[in-house]
Amino acid sequence: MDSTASAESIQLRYQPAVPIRNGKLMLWLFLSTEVMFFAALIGTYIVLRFGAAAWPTPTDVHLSEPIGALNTFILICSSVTIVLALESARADSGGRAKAYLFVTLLLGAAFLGIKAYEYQVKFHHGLHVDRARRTIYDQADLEYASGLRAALRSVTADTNADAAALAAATALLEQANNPDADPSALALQAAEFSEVPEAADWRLPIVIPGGHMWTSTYFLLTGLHALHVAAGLLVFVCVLPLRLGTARAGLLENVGLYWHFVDIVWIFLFPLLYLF
Amino acid sequence: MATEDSSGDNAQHVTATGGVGNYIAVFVGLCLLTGMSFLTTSEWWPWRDQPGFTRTFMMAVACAKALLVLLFFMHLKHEAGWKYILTLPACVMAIILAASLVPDVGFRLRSAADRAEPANNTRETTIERGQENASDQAPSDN
Amino acid sequence: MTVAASPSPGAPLVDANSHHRGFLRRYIFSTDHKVIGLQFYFSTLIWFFVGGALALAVRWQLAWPWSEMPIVGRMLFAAEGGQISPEFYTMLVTMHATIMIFFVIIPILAGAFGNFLIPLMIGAEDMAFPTLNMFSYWFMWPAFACMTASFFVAGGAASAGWTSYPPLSVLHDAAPGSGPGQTLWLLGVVFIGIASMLGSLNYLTTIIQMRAPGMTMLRLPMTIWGLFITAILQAFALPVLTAASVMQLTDRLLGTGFYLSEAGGQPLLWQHLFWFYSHPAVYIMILPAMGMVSDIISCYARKPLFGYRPMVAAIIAIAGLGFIVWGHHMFMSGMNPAMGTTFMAATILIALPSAVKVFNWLGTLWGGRIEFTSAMLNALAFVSMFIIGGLSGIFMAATTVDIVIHDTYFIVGHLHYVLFGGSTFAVFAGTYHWFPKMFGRQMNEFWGKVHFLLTFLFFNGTFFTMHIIGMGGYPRRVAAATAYAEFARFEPLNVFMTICALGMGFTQLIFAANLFGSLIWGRRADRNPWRANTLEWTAPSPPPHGNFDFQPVAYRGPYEYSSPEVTADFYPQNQPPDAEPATAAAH
Ligand code: HEM
Ligand SMILES: [Cu+2]
Repeated sequence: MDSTASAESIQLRYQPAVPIRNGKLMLWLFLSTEVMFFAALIGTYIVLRFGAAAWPTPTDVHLSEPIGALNTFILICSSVTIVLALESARADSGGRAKAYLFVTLLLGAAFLGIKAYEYQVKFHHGLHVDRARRTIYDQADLEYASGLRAALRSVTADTNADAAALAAATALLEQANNPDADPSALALQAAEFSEVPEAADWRLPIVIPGGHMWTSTYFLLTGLHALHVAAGLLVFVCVLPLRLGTARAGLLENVGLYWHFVDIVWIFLFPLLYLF
Repeated sequence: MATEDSSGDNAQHVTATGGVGNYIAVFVGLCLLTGMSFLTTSEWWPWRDQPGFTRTFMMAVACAKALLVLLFFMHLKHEAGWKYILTLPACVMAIILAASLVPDVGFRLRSAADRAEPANNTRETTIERGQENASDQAPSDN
Repeated sequence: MTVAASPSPGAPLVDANSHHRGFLRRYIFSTDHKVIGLQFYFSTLIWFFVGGALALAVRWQLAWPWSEMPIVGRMLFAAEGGQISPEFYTMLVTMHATIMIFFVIIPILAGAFGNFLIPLMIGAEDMAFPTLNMFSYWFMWPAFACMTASFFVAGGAASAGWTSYPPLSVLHDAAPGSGPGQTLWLLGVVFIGIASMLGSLNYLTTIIQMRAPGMTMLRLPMTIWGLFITAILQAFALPVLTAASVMQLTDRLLGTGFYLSEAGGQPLLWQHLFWFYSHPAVYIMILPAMGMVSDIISCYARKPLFGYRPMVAAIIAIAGLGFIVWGHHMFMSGMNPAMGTTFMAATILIALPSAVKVFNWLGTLWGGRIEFTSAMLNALAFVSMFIIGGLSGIFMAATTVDIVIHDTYFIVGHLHYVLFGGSTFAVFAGTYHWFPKMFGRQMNEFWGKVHFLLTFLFFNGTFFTMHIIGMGGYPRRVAAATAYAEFARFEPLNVFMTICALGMGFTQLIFAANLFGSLIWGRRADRNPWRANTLEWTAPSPPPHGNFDFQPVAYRGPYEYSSPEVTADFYPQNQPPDAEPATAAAH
């Protein structure tokens, strides 16, 4: 409400029920809604995952636990720096508060950078949510069989291929050419095929049981969490130019509460997505 | 927004905090806990073949970490009684929501599997797992 | 009629126009809760007429299947010779329900009345976060835009029902409306969710922190209690709908598979998440109405509200139970039977607090000196129609009974008794009651009564009949069920319902004329034309920016009508106990 109006009307007195700033109360209420939002998402993940017929292991989907742990560490550090920024603001040392907030911003950006790298790795291996670009299948199907045939044909057509590989590929291709061939049985054989280096591609990136649901949940959870991180960074950028003295401690506290919440969400996502 | 932060008497209540030393201690604790849950993926973890226990352990660690952040970084340890009203209902609702999804979504394949041909089932699982002998209960092997 | 409140001589009188701001700042991008409330009111009123028109088209098709629609038929379906196509019919049903629920009842109760009344009734100058409040209105517009646009995209607007069940809503070729129309529908729902959530956080903060001195929680008018609990429901339930809608969007646009069993997902997941929001949402649509009706009944019966504390407890109980009953919409979905029984028990339990409320309203009326104003008549209609709707709800809550009547017109009858007979009559009552405060003029009582009487008669003609054909098995969401031999006998009843519905639709034009006419020609109202107790009646009509020209203080609850302690038959909340004449209400 703008000040001219308040100046004209009288200043009303109120009877607040809780001894905190309105902004802080509102932020805690907002966090309640966020809890419900992530409860729906994480709850969905848990039931879909543990009810699934199959679920990929971290190696299947190129998930790196150390990187996940590193990101956890980064977020914890950023939680410390933002709480230190708040303390500095309360002590009215705006410069220090600003420095801490800036470090928090950098840490948050690092988190997002690492996240982006992880996504890159997944995309590289064909782990897309996108129907058109996805190259994983929940189980070997006809499409898989034809993909395998094409791969085998390129080996048999290769004049430089060594004799052992050629023989093995020809034998497998013979089976694959049988219209009654069971794609799943083919997949089993292809998995054991080690004569040519590319054979690894015939196995993993193509058949990942439960891979579709894994990409769905992984990208949904990490993606929406990353959006929350990005929103936090945006707020930091808006707050940084301000003078962060005691007058702004309340603002900094609100921002901090939000950031800690984002940290807590990750604290749960890390074991659920990487370690389970 | 005149009413927002200047509403007189309730602006004064700045929560007491534990000081920098306290934060560092919490930070060290959080790092240790993260290390502990990370350790479950290593070879030294004695309960590798008990995923149920390992997962419960990891969730307990995660809850402990969340509690540390809530109590010290978000200062709930020093807040008055309102903290319960503003935090517990959401947590209870969240648990109710997740739990109520279990029978219909979590067990969605259970009744279908009971009815399905058992032979059919086994064939599928062997192939799905490829040459890895891991069942979907086994912890990831790295 | 006494002038209840006059400003004390010392206080500066604030004039609505005293601060000179541009038209845009004052009426469009205003941060004043009253302007925002009226923005909500008029926006939803427009949608009310759009939704009503869709409903009449539905009724036309049901009564005279495939016959050419008069006037509009040629314009809309020139290709089909002026008749509705089956696909278009499903779209009509979907969009009628979507608009009425998301764009009319929820925003008019929480957005319009909530915004307008909360600060005034608790004695605050505005909401806690006026700018945020403005955003919560403007976030409605992307939603409006999405829903409007969806009518014009290829395939037309969404046609998977307002419940948007997968796989119909997820697979693009499932129905014509499952194309871009469905995507826009989901986006609209997400936007409206953000708007409601911002609003509800604001209401909660305002009610918790900005009550006038003396206005304890147990002195709040029931309207505020209704809105307060509604805001809590929204804060907890809406995020779940948002999350569910985001997942449906990614299923549609990106190819995730949360709701598709072929991808390892589960269609029932959507139903659970959707009803986790949408059952509380039906209380979002009724609790503010219950609150407003409580205030109105007490005021026009000139009696204290019977059992204030039980009323508050009942609202809280309804809201609490309301969170664990959503499965009663899924009895026939293949849900786990053990869960079905739990949901049945919890649902039937809700009848208890609901009955407490009904009996307390009756107790309030008992022996009162009832003034049959338009507002009171509509409030009485609310009570009686809610009884019917609540009772039919209990039938359906029994799983075994629901097996027979699920997805029949019985359900449609039930929901219209609670949503039209309940919420919409309360909106009418609230409009007649608070119009003087909103605009400083009174609505025309004669036309108000005519409108009430016709609406009430036509309403029952239309919707009571639905129970009958529903018991006969007549299915909902089917374009021409009378084509089946066993339903052919319902044809005359269908025609009867449609005639009543047309009558009801046109009766609403009286309401519109009365509303807009009274804006210009209405009798001027003083501060307290109804001799009511609550704080908003001590502010000028219409209240200026900042609302109060004195410091409001509450000395008692809001329902001290015909109190033996004072000579006047009302005892305003802010009248000090020793100041005898009620004319000196303001302090
Ligand atoms: C005494 C309280 C109530 C009970 C026991 C109750 C029970 C039920 C049940 C069991 C159903 C599902 C029927 C079926 O689909 O087979 C239902 C549907 C419905 N109820 Fe209620 N109800 C109550 C009050 C309300 C109120 C207050 C509202 C709204 C203001 C409401 C709005 C609806 C709507 C909109 C539907 C239909 C949803 C759809 O499209 O399928 N109900 N009710
Ligand atoms: Cu319901």
